Amino acid sequence: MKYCYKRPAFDFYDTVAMECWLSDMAKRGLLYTGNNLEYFRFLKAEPQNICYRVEPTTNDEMEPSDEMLSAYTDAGWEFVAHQGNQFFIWKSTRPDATELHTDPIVQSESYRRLCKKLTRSAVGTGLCVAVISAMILGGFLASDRPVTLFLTSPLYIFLAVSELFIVAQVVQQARSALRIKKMLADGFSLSHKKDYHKGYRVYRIMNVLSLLFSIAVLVTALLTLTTDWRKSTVDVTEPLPYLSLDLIEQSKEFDWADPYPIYQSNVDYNNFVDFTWTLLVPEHYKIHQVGAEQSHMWSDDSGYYKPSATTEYCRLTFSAFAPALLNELMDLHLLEGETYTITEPDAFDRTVLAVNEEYSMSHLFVQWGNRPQSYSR
Amino acid sequence: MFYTLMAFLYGEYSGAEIASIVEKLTKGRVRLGPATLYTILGHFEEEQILMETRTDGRKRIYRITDKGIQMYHDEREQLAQCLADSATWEEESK
Repeated sequence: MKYCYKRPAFDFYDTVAMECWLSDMAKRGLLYTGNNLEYFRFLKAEPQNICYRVEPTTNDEMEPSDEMLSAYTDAGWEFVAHQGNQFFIWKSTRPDATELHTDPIVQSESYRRLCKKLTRSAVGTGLCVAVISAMILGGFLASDRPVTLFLTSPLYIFLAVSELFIVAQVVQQARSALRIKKMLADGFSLSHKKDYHKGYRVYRIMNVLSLLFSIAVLVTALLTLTTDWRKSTVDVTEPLPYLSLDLIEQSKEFDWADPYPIYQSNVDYNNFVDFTWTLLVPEHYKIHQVGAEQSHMWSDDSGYYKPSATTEYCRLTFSAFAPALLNELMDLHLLEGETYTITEPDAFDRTVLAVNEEYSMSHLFVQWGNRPQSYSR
Repeated sequence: MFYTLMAFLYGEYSGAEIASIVEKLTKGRVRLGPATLYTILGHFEEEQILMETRTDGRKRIYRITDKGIQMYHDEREQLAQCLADSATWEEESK
């Protein structure tokens, strides 16, 4: 026996669409036998004319009672499968089978119970969404670099978009069930005929987008694990977006600090480069440079002069995030309570030079298109 | 729903028996689909309009409660009122 699995391209709670889809599958030789999670299992057989009915359950049982089975069988219906504790699926090949429901008002009662279950599940989903949202928001609020976190952590975006998708799905399900309930309560019987291809374009597009997005995020997350790197600056062969400390110092006395490996790694933690990337930040470099101690003192006589510099360079996919990221870099490097002389030379899209005379420190922040960068010395 | 209540007035029955009583009573004009019947029975039991008294093999046997009898009479009175209104309207419109 050969089986295949399919997922309907419409909302599960549109029961009429579901009935029509299952009948169409049977005409193509695919007989519905049950569900594996969200996928419907079909037995490959000869094409047949089978009438399906998707009936909301009256209680939380997973199987119809013996009495029910017997009554439905007498009426010409055979039990096929259950979908969770929400639906029983029945089928009939008999043209003389008695319709399962002969009174729309009574049928609306079974949808009222379904809507009640959906409300309970929506409340549960809402609580989960609220907890996850609070966790995401808390993560951003606790971080001193929320913009960077947003841009460089695909998991956060994935969670946020997944939540939106789940909420949209719950709303769609509730709408479908409520629509049917209202129609029945108004005294209109279900036609059991529906072109389920129509009216679900947005739903299908959302499904495809969600799938593509999930794949992209997961692939990126896996790729970044293997393609992010940290190397000693001398080992980096590709051109780096930074100003080398020796060029800035312009001193004959300048020399690089001795290599400083940690935990038996090959990386010199005095002069090293971090590279990471995500879909929103295809290039993110952090370049740390330290020079050797020199013979003259710092201007405040606090010790021997030892130059160092840190460069952070980002290339963003969307330049709209660049100003916020530049501001964040400035907030991060310019300490509260310290005095800086700030100048904004007319260069690049935005250039800010902040000099702290007391500690002989200077910070240069530059935004050039989608490339915000900071340079601290 | 009215026919189901009516059928239970003078005895204890299973769902299948009720379907058959209603069909016989209405000379086949009203047929209760199995899902309709079991939705009604479930709802009536939940609302204490019916109560299960025993089981007979696979069948569950129900009887009507006082609340159910009252509901039947209320419903009957409403229907009678509807018919009376209809008769009055027809008479006045002649």
